[in-house]
Formats: sequence, C-alpha cells, structure tokens
Amino acid sequence: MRKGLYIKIALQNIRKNAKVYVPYILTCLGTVAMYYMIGFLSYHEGIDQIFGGGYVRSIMLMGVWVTAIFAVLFLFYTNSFLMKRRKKEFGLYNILGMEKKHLSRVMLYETVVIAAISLVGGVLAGILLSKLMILVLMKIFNLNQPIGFMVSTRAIGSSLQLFGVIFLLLFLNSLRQIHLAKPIELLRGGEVGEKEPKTNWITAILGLLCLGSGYYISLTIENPLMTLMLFFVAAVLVIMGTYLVFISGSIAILKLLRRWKRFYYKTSHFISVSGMIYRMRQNAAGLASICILSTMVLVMISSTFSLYAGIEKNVAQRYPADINITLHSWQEEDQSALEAHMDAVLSAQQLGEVQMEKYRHVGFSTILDGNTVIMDEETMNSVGTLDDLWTVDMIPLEEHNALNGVQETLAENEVLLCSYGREYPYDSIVIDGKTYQVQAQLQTTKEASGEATASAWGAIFVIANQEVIDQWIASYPLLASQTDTIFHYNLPDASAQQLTALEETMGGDALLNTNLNVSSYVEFQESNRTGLREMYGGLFFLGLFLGLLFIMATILIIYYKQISEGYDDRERFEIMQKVGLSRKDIKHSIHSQVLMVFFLPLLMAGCHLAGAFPAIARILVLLQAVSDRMFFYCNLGCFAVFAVLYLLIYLITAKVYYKIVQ
Amino acid sequence: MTILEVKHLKKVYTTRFGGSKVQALTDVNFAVERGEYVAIMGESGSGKTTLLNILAALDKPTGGQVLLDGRDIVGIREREISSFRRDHLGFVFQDFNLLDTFSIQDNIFLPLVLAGKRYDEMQQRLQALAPQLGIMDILKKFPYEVSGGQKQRAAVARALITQPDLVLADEPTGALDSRSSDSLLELFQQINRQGQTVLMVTHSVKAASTAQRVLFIKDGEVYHQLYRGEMSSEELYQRISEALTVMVGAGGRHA
Repeated sequence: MRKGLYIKIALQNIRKNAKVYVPYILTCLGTVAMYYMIGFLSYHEGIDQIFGGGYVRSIMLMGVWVTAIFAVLFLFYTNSFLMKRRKKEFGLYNILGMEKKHLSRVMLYETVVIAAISLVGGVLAGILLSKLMILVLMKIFNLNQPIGFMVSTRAIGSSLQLFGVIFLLLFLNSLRQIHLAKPIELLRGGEVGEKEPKTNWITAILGLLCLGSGYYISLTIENPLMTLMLFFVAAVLVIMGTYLVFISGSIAILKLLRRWKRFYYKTSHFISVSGMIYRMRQNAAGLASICILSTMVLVMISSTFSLYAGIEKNVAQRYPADINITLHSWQEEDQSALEAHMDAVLSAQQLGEVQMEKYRHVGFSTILDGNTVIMDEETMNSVGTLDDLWTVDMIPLEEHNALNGVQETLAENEVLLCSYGREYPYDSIVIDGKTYQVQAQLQTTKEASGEATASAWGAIFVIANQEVIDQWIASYPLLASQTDTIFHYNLPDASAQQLTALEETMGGDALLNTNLNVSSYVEFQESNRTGLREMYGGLFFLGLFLGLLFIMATILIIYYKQISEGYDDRERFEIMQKVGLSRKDIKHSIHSQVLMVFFLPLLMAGCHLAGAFPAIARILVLLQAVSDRMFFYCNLGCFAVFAVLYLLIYLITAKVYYKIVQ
Repeated sequence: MTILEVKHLKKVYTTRFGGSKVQALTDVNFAVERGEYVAIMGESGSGKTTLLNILAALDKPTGGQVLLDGRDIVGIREREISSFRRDHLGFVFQDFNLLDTFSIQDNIFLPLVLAGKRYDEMQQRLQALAPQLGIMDILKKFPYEVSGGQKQRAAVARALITQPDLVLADEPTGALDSRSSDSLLELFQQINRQGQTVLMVTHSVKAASTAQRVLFIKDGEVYHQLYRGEMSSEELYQRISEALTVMVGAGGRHA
C-alpha cells in the first residue's frame, strides 16, 4: 500500500514536470539508441561481410568510445538541470513531513521508471534504426545489395551495462544532493547564487590570449607536418579560450558597456545589457559548450565529407591509370622486357583492350633555397627548414611531348615547369649552378601525378632537354639511382572484379617470375579506391553520426536554457510592466536579447571554423585529399546547413519560452 | 482639488470556462484630493487588490469610471497605457518588485530610462531624492545585497522619481519587520507633507493609522470612512480598531 504511494508520487512527478522531463527522457532514450547503433556497427560480425575489411568496425569502435564518454557527461549535465528545477518541490515534500529517506525512495522509483523507459525504448529504437544506419553506410560506400535484419546481442549488453551504471550514478548524485540540502535551502532551490559576477580581467585576458595563440598557430604555420603536430595544441587552446572568454570576457565587456552612461541609459540598451550580464553568469559555460559542440560538429562533418567527396579526385591524382607500374630503370631493354611480360600477363587474362603509355623521369626530395635547387646533402642539411622542402621531378622534353601530345621546344637554358600543391613563385630556376629560364609554367601536365604528388610538401615538375638532364645526373650520382620509368596501363573493358583478381595474380611486382635484375612495383587504382572508400567513408559516417549526437545535445542545452530563462523572465516581465514598459517593448527587448545570447555561440563557432580552416586544409593536403577550394565549399555548406538547423531549433524552443513567460 | 475620482466601479471575474462569476467590486465610489494621504483597508478578499489593479491601469473594470486628474483612465488606449502609467503613477509593492539584474540606482532610474530622460537629469533627480530616503550609500549595491527595509526605500524612490500625480502603495509594510515598517510609514508621512498624494492599500491598522483618511472596503463597496482631523496616530489607531471590530461583527449582506 505505502509502496504504491511512492510509485504514484514518482509517476506523478514525472507527469507534472513533463515540460522538463519529456525532453530529458527523450534525450536518454536517444543517447541509448545512438550508443546501441554505433555499438552494433562496431560489434556485429555481419558488418564485415557487407563492407569488407576490418576498417569499418575499427573506425566505429572509436565512435563507441566517444559516444560513451559523451553520454556520461551529457546525461549528468541534463540531470543537474532537472535537479535544480526540482529542489523546490523536494523542499515542499520535506516540509510536509516526508523524510529524506522517503524522498530517496521516490527518487529511486523515478530513476527506475526513467531508466526502464530509456533502456527499453532506446534499445528498441536503436535496433529499428540500425537498419537505416546500414543503409546510409551502404549509400556512402556505394554498395547495393539486399541485407537482412541484424541484431547484436553484444551491443545490447554493452548498452544496458553502460547506461545502467550511468543511471545508478545519477541516482546516487541526486541522493547526495537531497541529503546535503536543508529543507529551507531546498525550498529556495532555484533562487540561490544570483550574485553578480566580479569582473576577472586576468582570466578574461588569459582567455583572449588562449584564443589568439590557437588562431595564430592555425593561421601562420604553413607546414602541414608542423600543423598536424600542433593542431591538437591549438584545439585545446581554443577550447580553453572559449570557456574563459565566455565566462569572464563577456562579462568584462558588458560591464564596460554599462559604465558608458550615454550608451547604457537608453531603453533598449538598458534592459538588454543588464539582462545579458545576468544571463552570462548563469549561462556562460553552457554557451561556451554550445559553441564548442557546434564547432566540433562543423569541423568533423566538413572535413570528413571533404575527404569522402575527394576520394575520386584523390585516386585519379595518385593512381592515374588502372595499373601503375614504376620501373627503377631508364634502360630500353628493361622497359621492353617489362612490356613483354605485361603483354603476356594481360593477354592470358583476356581483359580486352589494353592502353599503355610510359615516360621516364628522375625525382627526389630536396631543399629549395629561393630558386636554387640544393643537390648535395651537406648543403641540404645546413640550409633551409621544413618549409623549404620540395619534391623536384625532372622529365625529358621528348617524354613530355610524347605523353601529352604536344610539340614543345626548349632552348639550352630553358625549362618548362609545373608546380603541384604549392606555388613556385620564380621565373627561373638554378640547378647544378646554372640558371634556367622558365619558358612557361604549365597549369597541369600528365607527369604531375602519382607518387611524386603524394608528399606532404609541394612538388615541381621540371621539363628540360634530355642532354640537360643527363648533365645533372652526371654531376650528381645520387640522381642516377632515382631514374624511373612509369607505365600506365588502362583496361577500359575490365571489370573491378577482374582487376582485383589480376592484382592478386601479379602480387605487386610487375616483373614477378622474370629473370630481369631490376626492381619495380605495381599499384592498382581499383584496390586503392576501395581502401580509401572504406577509410574515408567510415570516417564520414562517423562524422555524421557524432555530428547528429552533438546536434542532439545542442538542441537539448538550448531547450533547457529557454525554459530556465522563461521562468526567470516571467517575474521580470511582470515587474517591468508594472513600472511602465509596454508589453510589446518587453517582448521585443527580451526577444532580441535572447536572440543575441543564442546566436553568439553560433557566431563564435563560425569564427572558430574560419580560424581552423587553414590548419585543417593543410592537414587534408597531407592526407592527399582535397583542394582548398573544395574544402572551403564544404565548410560553407556545413555552416549554412547548421545555421538553418540552429535557427529552427531556436524558433521551436522560443515558442516554449513565450508560453512560459505569458 | 480632486485628483482621483472613482465612480460606480464594478468588476466581475468570470472563470476561464465561463462557469461561475465572482463579483470582486460591486459599486465603489470615492474621491481623493490633491495632497491627501488615504489608506484603504479591508480583509483579504474584500476587493482591495482588484481596486488597486484597476487604479494602476493593470486591469480593466466591468463598469464605472476612474478619473485621474479629470481623465478617464479606463478609456486610455492599450498603446498609451504604459507611458500613462509611467508618467502619472508611482508604485510601491509589498514584495518590492526590484529587478535583480539592476543595481539599486538603476532600478530607481528604470522608469526615467523608459521615458527617455537624459542621464544628467536622472542623476539630478536622484541626488535630490536619495538623502531624504536614506539610500545614498546603497545606490551602487544590488537588491540581493541590501535589507528588506532598504529595498522598500529604493522602491519608494523609484515611485517618486517620476514625480507622479499619485503614488499607489500595495501593502508596503507587508514584508517588513516592525522597525523598518515604522520608518517607512514615517517616510510616507514625510513625502505627503511635501505635497505628494498617496493612496495606500493595507490591512495593517498601524499603517492605516498614519494616513489622513481611512476607507474601509467590504464585499466590493466602500463601507465606512474615517478622517483623522485633529486626532493623533494613537487615537486614530484606536478608532480604526473599533471600526474593524464593528465591521467584522456586523457581518456582510451575504452572511
């Protein structure tokens, strides 16, 4: 009988506080569902059969960890919000004669009910939606095959375990709060700690410094390798800076505005500035979190999408032909031996038409001191930094003409030049102590592809007369060991399966089973495409998935903010009306103020994204991914979509807000 | 000269779904002269608060007229009502109604800022007012940093700073301890002596006994009134107590 009472009270509490509880339960449910889905993708063996390789599942395992950590933090955050709102109610029960142990029991039932709904509902939703996830993933992977319905018991078990523990911790935490509090404090609950914050210039400046140095790293360091090393540092600096700036910087600025009498004592400024100071002290951390989450969503989705969208271009750049063979020799007889061998292999497989082109080149990585190519190792080590590192690739003019179907001629002191990845700013080049005029800088040339373009630094392709190149090789014996012949075999009639089978037969060596004494290696476009698609497709999916999760969090934080601000503002709204502010003005001023506070994080996230852009663009170059422009559009697109979404969230939650205020 | 005239004021509340009707004010008639200090007394539920809300233009009556300085405030259009309230009325509430977001000084400035006054002028008016109210040294503080008595003084300052025709006080001593109450009532008398018209709603006999005239409201009508005349506050206190006893003893028409 008495037990029934507690359950009744618990259920009633949840129903009565629907405005805060429904979103909370939905969040718990959603988080459980998300966790199950990512766990399913990581744990279920069937995934390997669909997507091949182990990439997908190991990438998803990363997601499992991120989601788990996120779930703990996030559920604690939302729960603390709930507790704050409900302290008054606990105080009332307490005063009405319920002991703390009775309250605890009510809490227990509440937690059990919420946990049961979230776990059962979440896992069910997860199981249903996991099919959709697979379909999305298949779409990303460009796969099209019927799949059955799969359930991972391991993912279910893991979800139940993780969230069981989280709910237990939440329960213990609320017990702690109930037990620590005195009834009168519980009764006042929402109203304590309303003090105006002191301006802390030191932390404000520290915050700006953090932000500044984070941006500085991103904006100034040009070398991709350095960027990669320092990116994490920059990210941490920016995150710290964001929190500090939101917490003390904003208040410092607002207080300065308040001191500016002629500005401050105007109706609209008067109410909004004071209101913002008031909000900032409660919301700074929340707003900073929204800002960071938004930035993470944007960075994650735009960079993983860039990687994914760039796969074709990337593959075409790095592996220009179906079969790419590098032969470490310039000798005619080696070339013809390889060709003969390939003819035999290809005709044995009956792959239809064979298109072949080849060219010789000699390439190496070195330091460019201005326009001077350093060719001896001693000087190379003494001058220059990582920034001056270049790949220098030399191609005889006749090869260039034949390959590109052109008829260029060069004087003895002239070269053609094509740069890749970085601009070559000079109109001459010094090699082996002689200055060569750059007759023309080519926008593109067929030789600017393959391995020479795969480095983390820039490359120049120097096209010169055969005799000139021979001289360079004669001067630097180091070069002689770098002379390669590239063969491009295209098989327009062969299917992907046939190419994969062929690759297995050839075993990576073009001269396998021949008795030639030169080395070579073979790269197939198809298998590399598949590999990249698995990796980047998996990352892109993970980016989308975590993006969704973070957006969910952002929505909830905004929603709870609107609610708590609604309750705060209701009172202020009434008072101001009594003192003589019209309804319309109040609505207008509060609206614009709330709008400002909510769009501040979005604005800042946009700033962060712009600040991070150069660094990420450089890292993407390192991953041989995409052009800056492409990445730029990705960023722009992501930001636009996100801003629209954010606006929608705002408008929807603003409705709830006005309902409370009126 | 009459500053406020209330004629046949009537207010009927209808419950939300149009069910039962509650008559809060039946037929209220009275007038207040410029410079008067009037207290309105009555039990809970007698219609005091409804009356005050109508006088403050926060609520519309079902029938009757309220003339402030000869102008019917019932007929003022919604758009102008806020500025009318700001320019002609000052309010002091039981629970102070200071905004936590503003310092005491800014709370006092609020109606002036809304009226678009210049900062210098606001400052001048405050400098003239603050010493008398004894709030000079709390101007920079925030409402949560000062005592109830100080908050109410600040609220009085906010009501007076617009130099209103009429100050409406709703149970101003309700949330104060007896010492703060005394000094607040002393303050009301003082500003009244300087010519400020004050209308106070209260059920504290002590508070009412500081007024020049006391109106008793019962069941939505003015039931009785007392003039101070030459009486001291103690004598008036006595008379009010007697009147209340009679009023309670007599029972209502509906009893």
